[in-house]
Amino acid sequence: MLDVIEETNEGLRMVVPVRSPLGIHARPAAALAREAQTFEAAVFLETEHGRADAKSMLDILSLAASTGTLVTVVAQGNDASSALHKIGGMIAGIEE
Amino acid sequence: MARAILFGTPVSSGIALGKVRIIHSAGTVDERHIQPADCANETERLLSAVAQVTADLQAACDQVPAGLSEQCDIIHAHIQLCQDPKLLGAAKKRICEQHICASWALGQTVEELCALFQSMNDAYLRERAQDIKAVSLRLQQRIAGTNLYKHDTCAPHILLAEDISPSDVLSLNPRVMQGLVTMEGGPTSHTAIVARSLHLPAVVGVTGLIDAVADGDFIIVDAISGSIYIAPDNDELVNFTTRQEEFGAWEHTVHANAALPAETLDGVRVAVQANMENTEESAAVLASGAEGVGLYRTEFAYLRSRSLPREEQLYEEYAAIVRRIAPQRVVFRTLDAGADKMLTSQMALKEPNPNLGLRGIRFCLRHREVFYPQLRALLRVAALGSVALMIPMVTGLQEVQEVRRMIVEVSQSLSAAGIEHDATVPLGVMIETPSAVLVADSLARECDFFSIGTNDLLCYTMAIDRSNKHVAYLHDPLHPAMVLSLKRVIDCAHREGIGVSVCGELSTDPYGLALLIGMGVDSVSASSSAVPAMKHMIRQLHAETCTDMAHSVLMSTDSAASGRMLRETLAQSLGEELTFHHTMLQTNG
Repeated sequence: MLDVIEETNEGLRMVVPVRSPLGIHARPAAALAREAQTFEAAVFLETEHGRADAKSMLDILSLAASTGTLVTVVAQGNDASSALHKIGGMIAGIEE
Repeated sequence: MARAILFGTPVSSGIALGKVRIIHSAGTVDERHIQPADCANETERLLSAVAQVTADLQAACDQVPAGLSEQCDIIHAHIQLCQDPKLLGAAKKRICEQHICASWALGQTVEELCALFQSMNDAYLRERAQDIKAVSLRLQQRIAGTNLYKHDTCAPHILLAEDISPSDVLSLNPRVMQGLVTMEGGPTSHTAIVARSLHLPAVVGVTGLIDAVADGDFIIVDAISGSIYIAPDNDELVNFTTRQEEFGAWEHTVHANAALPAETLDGVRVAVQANMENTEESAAVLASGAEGVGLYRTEFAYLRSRSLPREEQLYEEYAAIVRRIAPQRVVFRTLDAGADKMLTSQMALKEPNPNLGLRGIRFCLRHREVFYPQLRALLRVAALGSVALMIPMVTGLQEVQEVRRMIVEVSQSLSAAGIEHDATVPLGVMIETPSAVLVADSLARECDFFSIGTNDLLCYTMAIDRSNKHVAYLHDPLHPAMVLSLKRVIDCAHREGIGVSVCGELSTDPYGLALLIGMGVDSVSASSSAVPAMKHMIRQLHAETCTDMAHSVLMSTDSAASGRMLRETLAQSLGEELTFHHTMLQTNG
């Protein structure tokens, strides 16, 4: 599921499901933001609730992404591809 | 500084003598307009505060004792919050556009963000506003240059604060901390939990505290009785130094003997079990010498998650506990949502008085789609080891019969699917409503055990709301109505040959415990931190003395007189032991 990458003029996009029963709560949100900050690329998360800057824990939290939500990860910039894989993989892998 | 004694709620036992260090919250935020030319400087102040707070938090995290990894995760989340681009971006914008100082800009930004989070539908996200505030407070303190969290060179001290967050407590060096006193907070606050895990004597809810002392003042914290002695005289100093040693020695004995059974001097065996609410507590439960889990609260999985937990998830959780506690028994209380622990679907009901609303078994029987998966998980887990179920908020026989019917139904569907389970699992009821007390005789014929929830039973019997200060004087466990209720429940159970356990606060109170033993309770269950001391006390009691005391209390129409009698009799039979236990009963009235 992780390798369906779409190339748009807005950057690379990938859709990942939230599997964690608790959704993306504070601790994983903090881990995501910390990881996203290591990339040069701008990374965004989109759900039906809106769009969040993946480098901001507060922004991620305000998406209130619960289990089963499909999150579109969007990355633009130099290392967009590795950012997309890393962040997408983390969202799909949150377990608690 | 005048000599004085203040009182609060002791949340972590012990005695501390030492100098006070006060942590002020940055209540008065610097609100200054700046020159446009100073924007860059002010932004720099903000960023340097961020760097300092990040370093402080990281240092705090490195100090977290092993086994508290969850605390560490919380601190990591706080680090992310303080560096958050959204938070900082908005604050920087305010500095440069409104020409206001860093602290004020931050304050406004945080207010706006908190308002946003607090308006969200999700209870979990609403609570995150607290984290944002905690982090911003630290930033503001750093901006103001008050370096409150520096501890490396600090001499031993007793910490005083209005309130304190878990990351604050952990960022302080436990090696130089002697005790903790706060004005806010209650027994279940984070402060209380962290203080207990660090074995720091702590008293919370001490009103008038900050006004009465200054940094460097010498105080005594008696976190057994909940008293704070300001500017103690020589006699007090001598007494409490001795008492501190005695308490240390007593605590050592209590823990060294934790594994010994709880048997009174005249040979009556009382099972002391632990209350639990998540799997992380198993190590503490095992170490406490508890003989199994007398109350496993199952709400955690429901409240932590935004969607309802699935059967498999519940099964995994319950199975982990049963395996860990085996061969001892685990008593699972079925979902007790409502009152102070609401599910999203309940909040939608907007009940004006949820304490008297659709809570406990009432909710589960109405929302069977929620109850079925839990029952299935519980019956499956019953096949793995020693397990019992109990139903909360029972008011009558029909509720028990309905649950029995559902168990049969669930069992049939599990059998049909070829899934291993045990439908003969013992089924008990929580006795926490006056109606359950009145029909206890018929309930006893229909179920396998009783467990008395003394906290709720007292509130419902006395018709008081526990959070309402104006009626707090009626919160009296020795009230004849309460004592007669306890007696009736225990007798009804024993007449039908079933056991009675008590899983409320009353069992952790020395007077309450003696009274319950005197009435013939078979087992008691409490927080694992209280278990070793309860067992130790039982080993020094005579069951016969307890029975005599219980008789007198039952004959009494005056709870103050009952309290005095309990105190005198117990002081006689327990001696010094009694002074090491904290009591909530007013026995000196």
